[in-house]
Amino acid sequence: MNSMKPSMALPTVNSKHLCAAGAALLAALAVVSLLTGKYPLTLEGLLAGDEMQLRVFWNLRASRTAVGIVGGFALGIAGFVYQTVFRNPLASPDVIGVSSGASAGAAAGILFLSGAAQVTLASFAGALAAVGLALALSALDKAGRHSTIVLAGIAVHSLAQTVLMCLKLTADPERELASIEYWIMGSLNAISGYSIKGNLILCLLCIAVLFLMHRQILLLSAEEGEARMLGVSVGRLRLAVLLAATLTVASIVSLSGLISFVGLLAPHGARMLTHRNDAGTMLLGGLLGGIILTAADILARSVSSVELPVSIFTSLLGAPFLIYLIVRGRKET
Amino acid sequence: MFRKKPKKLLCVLLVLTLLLSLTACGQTTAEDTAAATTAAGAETEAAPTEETQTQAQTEAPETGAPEVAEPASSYPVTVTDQAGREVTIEEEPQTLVSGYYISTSLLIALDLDEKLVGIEAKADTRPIYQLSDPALLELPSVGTAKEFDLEGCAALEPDLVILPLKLQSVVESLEALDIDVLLINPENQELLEETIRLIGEATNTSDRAQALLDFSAREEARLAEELAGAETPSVYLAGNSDFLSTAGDAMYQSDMIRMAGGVNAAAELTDTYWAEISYEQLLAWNPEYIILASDASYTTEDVLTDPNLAGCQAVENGSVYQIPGNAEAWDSPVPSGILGSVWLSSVLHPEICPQEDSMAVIDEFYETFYGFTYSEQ
Amino acid sequence: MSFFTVSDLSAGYGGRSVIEKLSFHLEEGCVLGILGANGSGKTTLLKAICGILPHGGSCALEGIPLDGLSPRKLARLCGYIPQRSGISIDISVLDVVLMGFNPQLGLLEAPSPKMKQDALRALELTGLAGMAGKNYLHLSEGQKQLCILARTLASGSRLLLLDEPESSLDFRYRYRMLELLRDWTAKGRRAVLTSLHDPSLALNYCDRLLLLTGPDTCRLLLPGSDPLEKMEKELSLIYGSISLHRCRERNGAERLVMLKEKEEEINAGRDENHICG
Repeated sequence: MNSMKPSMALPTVNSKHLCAAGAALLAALAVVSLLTGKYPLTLEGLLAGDEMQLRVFWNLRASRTAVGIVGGFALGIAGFVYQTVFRNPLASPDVIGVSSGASAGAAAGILFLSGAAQVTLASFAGALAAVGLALALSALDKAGRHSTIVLAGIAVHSLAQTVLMCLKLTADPERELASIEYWIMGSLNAISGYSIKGNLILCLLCIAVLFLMHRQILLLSAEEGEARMLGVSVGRLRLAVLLAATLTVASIVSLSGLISFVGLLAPHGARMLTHRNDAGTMLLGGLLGGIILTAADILARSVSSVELPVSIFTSLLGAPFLIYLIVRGRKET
Repeated sequence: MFRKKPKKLLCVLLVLTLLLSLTACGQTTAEDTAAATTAAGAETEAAPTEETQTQAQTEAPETGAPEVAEPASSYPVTVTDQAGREVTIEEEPQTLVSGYYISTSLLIALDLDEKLVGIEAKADTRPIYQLSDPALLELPSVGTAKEFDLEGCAALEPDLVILPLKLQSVVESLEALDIDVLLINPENQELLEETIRLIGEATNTSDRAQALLDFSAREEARLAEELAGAETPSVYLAGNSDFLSTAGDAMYQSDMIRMAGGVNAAAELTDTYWAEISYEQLLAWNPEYIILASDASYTTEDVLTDPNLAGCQAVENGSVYQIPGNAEAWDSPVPSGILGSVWLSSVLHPEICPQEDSMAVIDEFYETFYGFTYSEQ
Repeated sequence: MSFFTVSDLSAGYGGRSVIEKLSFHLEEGCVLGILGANGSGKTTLLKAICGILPHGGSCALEGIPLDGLSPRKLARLCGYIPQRSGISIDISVLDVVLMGFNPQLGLLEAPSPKMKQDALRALELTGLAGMAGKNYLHLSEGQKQLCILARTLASGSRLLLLDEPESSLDFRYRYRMLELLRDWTAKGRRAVLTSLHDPSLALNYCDRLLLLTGPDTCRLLLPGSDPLEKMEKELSLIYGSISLHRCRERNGAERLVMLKEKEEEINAGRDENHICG
C-alpha cells in the first residue's frame, strides 16, 4: 500500500518536530546518566549539602554526562560536515586522518610524557598535525580537487598507523601497550571536571562556527568549479570548515579516546529521517550523536562491575538503528 | 539511483562493525575465564602448601636452605613442561638460553647464571641482573616474546632453551635443530611454583629450587601467624598503566595483599584481568591504602595531588605507597614475589611487622639466592 | 570598447592544449552561441573564461579583466551553468536557487526575505513554480537544468556562461530556455555566451555563432544576415554534409532549418526550391 503512494509514506513530521523529539530523548538520557554511577549518591545527601556527594556529582557525574552529550553532538556535527564537504556518505573523521593522528599522538604521549592532561594534549596535537599534513599535501594539487584531499588523508592515515605501530612496538607490553590499547578503545571513565573545561569550550565554539557556516558547507558540496562560480573561495573556505570540524573532533577524542561509529552514523540517520541537509538536519545529526554516545556511556559504566570501552556500545546501539533506517528507506522508495 | 550504492557499502560496513565488536567481546570473555580459573586453582593450592611450610619451619628455623638434600636428577630425565609437552633431556645441560625475564631471574636464584649464554631483550631494564650478575647484561639477546630471534638463538647452540608459553610457535623449529625447549607459564603463584620445580628438575638443581619454595612458604606462614587477628585495612592496588586500572580478586596481586594482612578494595571484581574503573568507583570503595604497582608510569605524588581523589581516605591520610622496584617487581610472579607481601605487611601493620624485620627478610632472601645485600643498594 | 572581449585564450588538460590563442568579442544585449563537434573545446573555452581551468590569454568584461578577480567578485559579474550540476546531496529546490545569492551575502549572512521572493519568482519564470519545497535530487535532469538556470538568473550577474544548457531538456523547454535567455539579455547591460548542442536552436536564437573548427581557428556567423551558402559551408566544417533552408512559421516568421545530407553528396547542389514544413 505504501508503495502506491510513495510521497505519503514520508511522514509529514519536519525536522523541527524530529529535533524536538531528539532533544527530549537526549534530556531524558542525561537525567538517567546523572543517576547512574558507582558512587552511592542520595537525593537527601545532595540536598543536605554533603560535601563529598556534591563533589562527586558535579566534578565526576555531571562532567561525564556533559562530555557524553557534547562529545556525541560534536561527533555528529563533524560527521555531517565531512560527509557533506566530501560528498561521500561514508566520510568520517578518519577520511582526513583525525582519528589515526589522535591515536598516534596519544600513544606518543603515553610513551614519552606523563599524566592524563599531557596525553590529552599530545593526542590533540597529533590530530591537528595529521590533518595539517593532509591539507598541506592536498595543497600541492593546484586544481584543489576534493579527491586529492581524500587521497592525502588516506596517505596520512596510513602514515599515522605506521607511527602508531612503531610506538606500540617500543612500548612496554605490561603498562604502556595496555594503556595505548585501552585509549584506542575509548572510554569516558577518566573524565572529571578538572580536565574538560578547555576542551569543552573549544568544542562548543567550533560547533557554533560550523552552524553559522552551514550555508557555506552546502555550497562546498557542489562541484569545485560550480562552487567557485557561486562566489566561493573553495580552497580557503574548505580549509576553514575542515579545521573547525577537526577541532571539534580532536577536542573530544583527545579526552575520551577513539569513539567509533557515532560520526558516521548520527548524520546519516538524521538525513535518512529528514531527507534534507538543512540546518535542522545538522542539528538532528548532533542530537542523535549525543543520544548514542550518552546511552552507550551509561551502558559502559553500568552493565559490568568494571568500565567497558564505550565504542563497543556505540557500535552495538548504532548498527541496529542504521539497519532499521535502511530497511525503512527501502520500503519508502 | 546512485544513492543505492553507498547504502550497500554501509550494510557491509555495519556487518563488519558488528563482527568486530563481537570478537572484542569474545576476547574479554576468554581472558575472564582464564583469570577465574587461575584464581580457583590458587586457592585450592593454599592449604597443602601451608602444611609443608610449618614442617619446613620446624626443621629449618634459621635459614630457608633445606637440611635434607633432594635427590639429584639422574639423566636422561623426562619432564612435562607447562604446555603439557613431554621433554626428555639426555644429559645435564651445560649451556642455557632464557627467553623470559622470570626464567632468567629463576636461573640466577638456582645459581645457574654462569651457564646462561643468551637472555631476553631489554635486559638493562631489569635491575636484578645488574645487582646479582652484571655479566648477564653482556649476553646476546634472543629477542622478546613478540619478536623472537630464532636464528640468533640457534647460533648460540644451547643445550636447553626456556621460553614463555607465548613463544610456543618457535618450538618446532628449535626441536628440528636438536635443541631441547621447555615452555613455562608462571602466570600465578601456583604455576610459578610448578615452574620452579620443573626447571630445578631439568637442570639438576632441585635442592636449590626446593629451598626457594621453602623460603616463600616459610614467610607466608610467618605472616599468617603474626597477622592472625589483626585488622585488615582495605587496599587499592593501582595498575602499571593508569591508577584507574586495578587488579581484581582473581589476580596474583590480590593474594599479595591478603598475605600482607589487607583486603583488596577491588575484591568484588572477580571476573577480569586488569580492570578499568572510574574515579567514582574508587571514591565509593574509599580504600585506606593506595598501593602503586612497582612499574607504575606515574608517581605517588600524582595520586596525592589528583584533585579528583580528594576525600578518599588513603589520599587524605597520605597512605599512598609504591611497591619498590629497586631489584625486581614484587607484584609480578617472580621467584622473589613473596617479598611483596613482606614489604606490604610493614606498610599496613608497622606495629606488628616492623620495617627492620621485613628488611632483614628481604636481605636474607637476596643474600641467599642472588648473592647481594638488598639494603646496601 | 566591446562589452566582453576574449583575447589569445589558450587552455587544455595536462599539457595537451584544446584551444589555442582564441580571440573574439561580444556586444551587450547579444546572445552568442558556440557550436563545435564533440571534443572541439566548447566546455574548455567556457571553463577557461570562468577561470576554473588554468589558461593563457585574457578576458575582460566592460574593461575589467576577469583573471585576477576573487571568486566572489567574479561571481557577481558572471554566472556559470555547467552541463550538469555537481549537487548530489538532498537539498530543497529553493535552497539551490538561494545559493545564487551567495556572492551578495557576507560569509555568515543568511539570505533575506526579499532574496527568497526573488528566488521564487525566478522559479516561476523557469516553469518550476510550486517546486520550491521539492528535493532537488528527485527532479528530472531537465528540471534540474531549469532550476540551475533560475539560480543563475536570480543571482544578478551580467554575463551568463552556459554549457549546453538545452542538452537534457525536452523539445518544448529548449525553446523556452532560449527565449528566457533572450528576454533576460534584452533587459539591460547583459550578454549570454552559451555552447549549444542543437544547431537549429542556435541558428534561430543566437545573434552570433562562434564555430570552433580547430584548436586555433574559429569562425563567426551572423545567422540573421549571412547568406545561406556561406553558413552552410562553415557549418559543414563541423557537421559534415548539411543543407540549410529557410521556412516560415504559421505566423510568417522566418526560421532556419538544418538538414543532414548523405556524406557522398557533399558536392551536390542545393535544391533551392525545396519546401519544408
